[in-house]
Amino acid sequence: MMRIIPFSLAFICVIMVVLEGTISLNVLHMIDYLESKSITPHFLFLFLVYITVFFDRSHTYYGLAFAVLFGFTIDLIYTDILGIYLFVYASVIYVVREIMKLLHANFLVVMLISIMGILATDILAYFLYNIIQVHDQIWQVYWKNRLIPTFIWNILFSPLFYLFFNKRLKKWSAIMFDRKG
Amino acid sequence: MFFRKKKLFVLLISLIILVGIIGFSLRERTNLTVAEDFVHDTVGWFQAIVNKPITFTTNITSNIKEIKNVYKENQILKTRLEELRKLEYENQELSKEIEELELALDKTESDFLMNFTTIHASVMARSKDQWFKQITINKGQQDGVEANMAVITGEGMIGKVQTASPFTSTVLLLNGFNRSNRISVNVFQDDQKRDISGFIVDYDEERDLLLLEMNENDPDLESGQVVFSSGLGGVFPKGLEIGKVKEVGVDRYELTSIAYVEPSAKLDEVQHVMVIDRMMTTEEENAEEEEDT
Repeated sequence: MMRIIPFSLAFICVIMVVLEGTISLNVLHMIDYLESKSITPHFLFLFLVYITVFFDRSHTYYGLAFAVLFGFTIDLIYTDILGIYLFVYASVIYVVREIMKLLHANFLVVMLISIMGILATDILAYFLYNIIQVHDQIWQVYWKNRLIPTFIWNILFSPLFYLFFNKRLKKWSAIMFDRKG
Repeated sequence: MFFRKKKLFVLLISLIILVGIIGFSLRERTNLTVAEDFVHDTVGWFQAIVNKPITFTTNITSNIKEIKNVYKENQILKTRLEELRKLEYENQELSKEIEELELALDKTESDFLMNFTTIHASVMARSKDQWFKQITINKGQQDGVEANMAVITGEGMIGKVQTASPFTSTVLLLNGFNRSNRISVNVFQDDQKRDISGFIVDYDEERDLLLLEMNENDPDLESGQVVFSSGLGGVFPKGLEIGKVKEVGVDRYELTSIAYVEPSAKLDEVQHVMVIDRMMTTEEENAEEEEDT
């Protein structure tokens, strides 16, 4: 059981990466409100937050490692430019890890952290893509047309993630790390 | 100290690697490395599986919406059917005439600019980040797809193949085109012998329209005229519908006309596409020419 756990976490991460593309294709264009708005699903990032909050202990780096690995996968599949999502996800997850050393893992904390995290990732990605001239959108257009819809869409999924993964991750974490000691 | 020495070292090394990767991928590339191909195809396989139940459910909901309009549409279609029979008859007559004329002129091969084969493909995913106008399709090099081929739907052109992996490929949509990938086009003129030619050079993101620059100042350019690819600009064949002229103007120096073109195909609702392979026909022609000589 112990050996399977990292692989099942990785498998869920792959599913999240795939879902982001499929949801963008099939679901997001159906919402009529979205004429000039655009939504970026950050399912993988949400799941990484849940791993960091509920699964990782102070001496393990699973969340960070998956952030690097699957951030790079997202760069490969969905964008032209490698390294941006790798950097964005890894740095935000690192900060989340540092914060979680001070806080207890519960529903309110994980909601708060996913709110901050989604805002931080999307704004960071906006600035980095702006620097390397992938887009030239000004800030006022960006936060109205992209930041707010993206934020609302992703934050709706955070409680769902809590329902699905909260107990499972805690259980897996106990199996992984508690027996050794 | 927030960072200890060891951590600072790791941080600096990873930043250098990161900037290296970004610099590497900023170049204009049409060929991917083997590792990238592998990731594309592996994830593409997953996408094909995940996509099926999701498209199934979304299709059901859109079908329910469509059922409401079925009766009205049916009435309109019935009237159209009569016109269609007439058109079909005319079409047959005209193609016969063309054949006879071609025989008379000793012109054996038809316009090679219009020859192409199509590869049917389904769309599996769209780029999660809306700044990249990309979709992934389920056909790749093994099926004959190569970089820079045109991609169309029944309604018109939607973009071109950006990169092709063995089993999947990435398509750059028309609204992601910029000055480095322009399309040579003709604007169809009803009452004149020659069509006006120009280039699609850019996409105006604020208006959601393509920017068309004509080669000369042309007074016949009007809104509502249809824009086709001309086949002169490289790999795109002749006669692919791109869009309709929506606005006409003059460029900065008032020397040439420009126009804003609305794409015919809906770029945000694509399910099935056709990749236009023009290379095969030209190769065959080359072989034929060699045989002749």
